[in-house]
Amino acid sequence: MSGIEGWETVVGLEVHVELATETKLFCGCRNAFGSEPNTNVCPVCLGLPGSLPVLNRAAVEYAM
Amino acid sequence: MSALEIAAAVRSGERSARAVLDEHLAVIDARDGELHAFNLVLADEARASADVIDARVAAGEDPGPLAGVPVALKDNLCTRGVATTCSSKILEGWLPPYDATVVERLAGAGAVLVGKTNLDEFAMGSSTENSAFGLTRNPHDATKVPGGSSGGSTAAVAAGMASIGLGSDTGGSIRQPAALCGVVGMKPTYGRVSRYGLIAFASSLDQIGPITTTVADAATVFEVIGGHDPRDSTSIPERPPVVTPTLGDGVAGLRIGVIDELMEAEGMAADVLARTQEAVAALEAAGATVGRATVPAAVYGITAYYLVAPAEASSNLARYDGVRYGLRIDAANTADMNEATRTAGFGDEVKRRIMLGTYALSAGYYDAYYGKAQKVRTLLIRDFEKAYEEYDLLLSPTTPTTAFPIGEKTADPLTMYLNDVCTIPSNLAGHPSMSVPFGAGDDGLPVGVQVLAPSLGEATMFRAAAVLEGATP
Repeated sequence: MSGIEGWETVVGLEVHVELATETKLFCGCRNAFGSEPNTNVCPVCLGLPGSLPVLNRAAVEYAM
Repeated sequence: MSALEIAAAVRSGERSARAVLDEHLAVIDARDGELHAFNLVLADEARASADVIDARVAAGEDPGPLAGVPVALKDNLCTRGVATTCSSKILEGWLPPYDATVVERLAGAGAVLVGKTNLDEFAMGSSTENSAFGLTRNPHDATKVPGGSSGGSTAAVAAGMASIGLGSDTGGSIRQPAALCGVVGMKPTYGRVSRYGLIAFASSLDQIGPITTTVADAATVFEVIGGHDPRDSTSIPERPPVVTPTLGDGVAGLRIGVIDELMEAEGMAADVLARTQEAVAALEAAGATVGRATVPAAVYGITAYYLVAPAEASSNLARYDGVRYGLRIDAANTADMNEATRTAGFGDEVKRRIMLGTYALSAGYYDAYYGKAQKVRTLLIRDFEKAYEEYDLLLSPTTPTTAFPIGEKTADPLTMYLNDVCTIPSNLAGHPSMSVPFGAGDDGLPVGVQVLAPSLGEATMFRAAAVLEGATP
């Protein structure tokens, strides 16, 4: 094929990593999939008025 | 009876919690129709709680240091299963599924919840005239405001409807109404009292604190509600505060500085300044050395605050979108539904501050407004640090004037904002401060004097407050 000489192939990899924590990023709800609806929820992850996030330490450690 | 006297009488069996409660409910019946301190009175629930306290005492148990004490909670504190409205239409009817940490701690100490009190909507205001459910009146003069935003809790305590109240203070919202209503109001060091369950206005400024008729009551409530809470990441990792053992230690040998910039601020009334000078004399008579302190950046406090607080509010109030809770005005699509809900649900002052805050944070303006305001905040913290090298405590009036007439300052928001000139600096710095009633103005209405302390300096602050309480004209 003509035209391919002189071109350099550059491949970028966009990698998404799900952190295998026990609980969610900002609260103690289980980080689980396939549970019954409305079970792994609390005032914090629902963003209810008055709730405050608390950072999951394991998530930070895994991310680093 | 003070809260401590009530608790002592209930714990010893000398008085029943039920009898104490009924007395307070009678005052509510007699006066709340006029004063409107409460959004919601929980008479039946309170009677049931009081009966439980009495049964425990009869069984030989100790319900705690606030046994049987009737408490009024500002309606921005979440109470499980009980309407929590922030005096806003947008949360009308919402029932939180959880209690705020401070509510749990008060209940654990034996206090009896009497009701949820009125406030300026979402704690934005200095007069309680911004409530969506009608204003609250000052118990000393029903034509005057009680102050705000914790006007309901403060009026309730001042009128004898509750023995203690909890308010929140972001720019002065506990201390200013306390001064205008002649009661004690205290704002802790930022992080001393958990904000979990306090519906957020400005997250870096909000703090919960006691409103009481005596300094000793405020000290006890502070000890009960304070201390680390793992559910609040901004909660200081310290054990609960201890201030009552040293309450009577006096001020001999302490150095106290009167803040020049606040004494000379625009709008300070002569009678308020006169009471402050009398407070100085009282502290000197008690053995303190009182001088003039300078906190130069204090003159920029209001300006910095009315950029930082609305900016944080614009973020905190973004959740009120009609989707998960509260008011929903249906429309053809989500965006229109959000807009219709927020248009109908928020009052004018809330809308004003959301717009101010959104603008201050917007691309192109962030550095000029919010960024600059945060730098001013740092300058203020440094000025306080310098002042606290020379002084153990600082002093100022709490408010520029005594309680002003209802409707007098509602035409121009800036006029209302100036009420917070003395209280805002300690919110920006994260320092503790409290207002103690000290005499009256020329109009016979209460005047409050403000004691300020460095971070974690509550014990010393309370000592000075106790001296002022004992010397009040």
